Amino acid sequence: MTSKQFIELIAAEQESLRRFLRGLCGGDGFRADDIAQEALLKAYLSYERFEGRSRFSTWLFRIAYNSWHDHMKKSGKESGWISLEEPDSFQVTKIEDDGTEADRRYEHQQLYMAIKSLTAHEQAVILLFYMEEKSIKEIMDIMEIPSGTVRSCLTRGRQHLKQYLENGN
Amino acid sequence: MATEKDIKRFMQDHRIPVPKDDRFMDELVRQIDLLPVPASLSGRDEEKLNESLRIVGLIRATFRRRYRRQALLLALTDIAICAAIFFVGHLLIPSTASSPALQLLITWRYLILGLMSLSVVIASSLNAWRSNA
Repeated sequence: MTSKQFIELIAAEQESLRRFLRGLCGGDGFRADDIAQEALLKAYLSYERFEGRSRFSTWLFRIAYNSWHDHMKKSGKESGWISLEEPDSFQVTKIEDDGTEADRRYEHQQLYMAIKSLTAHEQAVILLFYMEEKSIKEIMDIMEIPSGTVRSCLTRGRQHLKQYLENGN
Repeated sequence: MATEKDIKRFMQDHRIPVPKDDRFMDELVRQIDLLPVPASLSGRDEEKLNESLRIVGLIRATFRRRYRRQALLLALTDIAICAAIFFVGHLLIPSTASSPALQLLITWRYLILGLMSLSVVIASSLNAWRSNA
């Protein structure tokens, strides 16, 4: 494979990858794109480690998830949730593009609020399963956790979301 | 009571948008261009693989030609041996047969036997030829 072919492959996957990271970062587009960029560069430099045992997209998601995890560890925010009320993240959003991102963010506030009630693992599992429509097997490969853990995260996540939806958001 | 369907609908209705017209990919490509090209993405592995496949193909074609020639030679030799045995047998008949009717019977039996052996030999040779092709 050549660099050009690799870029074509990641161009096809970048949208869902960035969406997943935006979900994990509570809608912080700047932060999510930074992590996505870092993850895709890591994938580029370590392509020889891709053994083809899983799908290319699964491999990219795994790198992105690990990058996000590392970022969270570094910033000391293990939950991965960046509050909307947090001054620095809100300021970044305002500067981004004439408030359109802020509007969009408001629109999706419900989703972010719902996800906020979940643990980091549950957030990732719920986003991968419902938003990116990944299978349990793919989620296992991405998060490198056993299928039992994926299923229990999914069950707990569902319960939390059900409660959230039942309480009228 | 919220159901699985409600959760799915909620997640799909609130699908997080990703701007399509932003410069994310441009920036990524720019950064990739600044990095050294990893050996695994230089395309050299692919060239090597293609060259190996070409060599294997050439060797296979050489073997195929050689086996075909051998099978053909074997078939011709077998046919010649069968024909020689048949003619020798046929020439021996007049001196051993006592009546023309018996002679005809023996000749026909020789002919049938000879043709059968010949077809078996040709079939096995052609089969060897085909399986080595």
